[in-house]
Amino acid sequence: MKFNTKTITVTLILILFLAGFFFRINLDGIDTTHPGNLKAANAFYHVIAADHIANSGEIFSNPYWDAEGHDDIINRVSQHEAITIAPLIKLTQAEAWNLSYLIVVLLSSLSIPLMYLLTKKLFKSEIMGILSAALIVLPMALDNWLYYMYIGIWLQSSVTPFLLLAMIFIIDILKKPKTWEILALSITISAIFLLFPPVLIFIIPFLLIILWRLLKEKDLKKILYYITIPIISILIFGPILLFGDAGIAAQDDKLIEIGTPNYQSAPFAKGLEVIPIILLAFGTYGLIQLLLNHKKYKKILLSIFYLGGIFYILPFLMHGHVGYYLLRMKGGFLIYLAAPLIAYGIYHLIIKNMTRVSKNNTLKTSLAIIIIIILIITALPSFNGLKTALNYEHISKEKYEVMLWVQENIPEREQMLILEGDYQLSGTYFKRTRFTLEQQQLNEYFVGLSQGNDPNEIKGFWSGYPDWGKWSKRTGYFSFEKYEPLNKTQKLTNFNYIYLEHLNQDIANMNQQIGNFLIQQHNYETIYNEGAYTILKKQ
Amino acid sequence: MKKLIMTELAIIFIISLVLKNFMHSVAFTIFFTFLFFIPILPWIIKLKTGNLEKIVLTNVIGLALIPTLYIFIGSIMKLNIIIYILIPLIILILGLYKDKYLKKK
Repeated sequence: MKFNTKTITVTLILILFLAGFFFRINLDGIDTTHPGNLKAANAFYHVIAADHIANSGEIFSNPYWDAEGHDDIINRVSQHEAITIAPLIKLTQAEAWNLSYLIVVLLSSLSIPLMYLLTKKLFKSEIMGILSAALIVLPMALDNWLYYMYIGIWLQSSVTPFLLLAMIFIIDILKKPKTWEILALSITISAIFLLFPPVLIFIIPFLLIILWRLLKEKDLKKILYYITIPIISILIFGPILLFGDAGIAAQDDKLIEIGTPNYQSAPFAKGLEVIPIILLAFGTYGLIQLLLNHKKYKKILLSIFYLGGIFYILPFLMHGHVGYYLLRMKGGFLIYLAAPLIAYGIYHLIIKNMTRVSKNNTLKTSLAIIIIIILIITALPSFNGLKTALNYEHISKEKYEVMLWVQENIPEREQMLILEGDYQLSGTYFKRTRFTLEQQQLNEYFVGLSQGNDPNEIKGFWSGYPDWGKWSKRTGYFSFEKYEPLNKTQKLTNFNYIYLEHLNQDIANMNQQIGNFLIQQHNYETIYNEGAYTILKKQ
Repeated sequence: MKKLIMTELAIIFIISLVLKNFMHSVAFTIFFTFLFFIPILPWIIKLKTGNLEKIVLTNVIGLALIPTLYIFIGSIMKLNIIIYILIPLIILILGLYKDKYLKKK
């Protein structure tokens, strides 16, 4: 093998990609026995969606047990990611929660070589590309920059490589429109639209410029290559996006309203302020250098100002729902804008200055490798801290065994009462239509019980996603109809099956009281009683 | 082409080892490569770029295109294993055929 700069570069990018992958996968980990690696409701939702597609083949519906018992409530979230995972669930027979996390991590890690390619294209420098890629292997303040990935807000995380690839094609096409790149761009933007459409805002002006140029050229073949797949995608998903459950038209919030955005202090709304000051200084230096060479970097600067405007100005003009989404994107995507600038700054301030006398590329690459090692080592404490913080489970192995027992022994269409403080939709894996209580509701119920209230009266919610928003079934291409929501005040005795979880001794005592009430006065029997879990059945 | 497929298989196998089950890892490697990589490869192989670019482009375009086509089909009928396999197979055959057709021309 010829040992040249190119080989070193390829090897380095491969190492960075694999390092990025293994760091990311180790945050939530892989659990072969139970879905302990799912850290929030979003993750549960996406895994269940993939599992549902694998089992039913239906791409626009929810499982009935997560939709108040209805089979035809449409899925408000686009299923591009779930459809990527579904065939792998079907064909490999591996656990859905592991395959889902694996694919999301793989997509997130693919951003590393793509960042190299993008930066190399922007600044025509291999070393800047490598540095830029290294900056997102373990982005410092990774609790901020990898938040979407490890918490389970996966669509925003999965869309990143497609966004970066679209940017690479846009740069090339704006220089010289090649047919294959136009087709590849159209595939990529369709995937973005079907995966997480809000991020199209980052590239829409460039896409319109390309369309305008193609129309001006009057090259019908290229125009068709450019618009066909996106138009089919819009025809399929557009009506759901606009008029379906989570559709823009269904939101109460005003679309445009000047003011301070909600959630401004939330972790996902943080931006450049979480980047360590030294890297921020390199980035600022990089930006100043670009400004000084504004004639050469005019297009890059315009793009930076456009993207900066989206993150820092637009949320203040569109608060409500849209502003909230823009803020969420800031916490996930700003690093991809900052990394090339920081790499540019590091290259010009350190590498270029230190290798001024020598034009030896190997020396530059060696320096870059040293900087990369320092960057990764410096980020390791942050990684370990985050890994420790994520060392919790919403579903323990023991609880998952109960859930499997429920799946096997309780009839499919049965409505169950889950008497626990449902948190982050972890009860999803009962795979039954379930009435459950939030922690606060559970506390109030137990307090009422100790004060002698009627144990039979209970307030809770029907667990599943319809409770989150305005859900409906599709009645026509553009028309959607809502079901009457189920009653949120119920009686214990309405349910044939009641699940009790003894989280601590006090709750166990309360559950004992409830059990006695049901068994002695209402003919219930215990059908499962293992560890901290009891299931009662009406005789 | 063979070299790129072998490289992809090696990388995906290394990655899939995290599944902690050898059979799952092997199945994942084979099916991931078959569904999302191999069908796109004939379309990318002739590009005048390095192997790194080719592998990255093939993976990302495959992960963009194949699920998009599943959605197109899934919007008119239920998906099943045959469709999961048939769609990548058609893209692969089209790519290979296009290659041979261009050679003849």
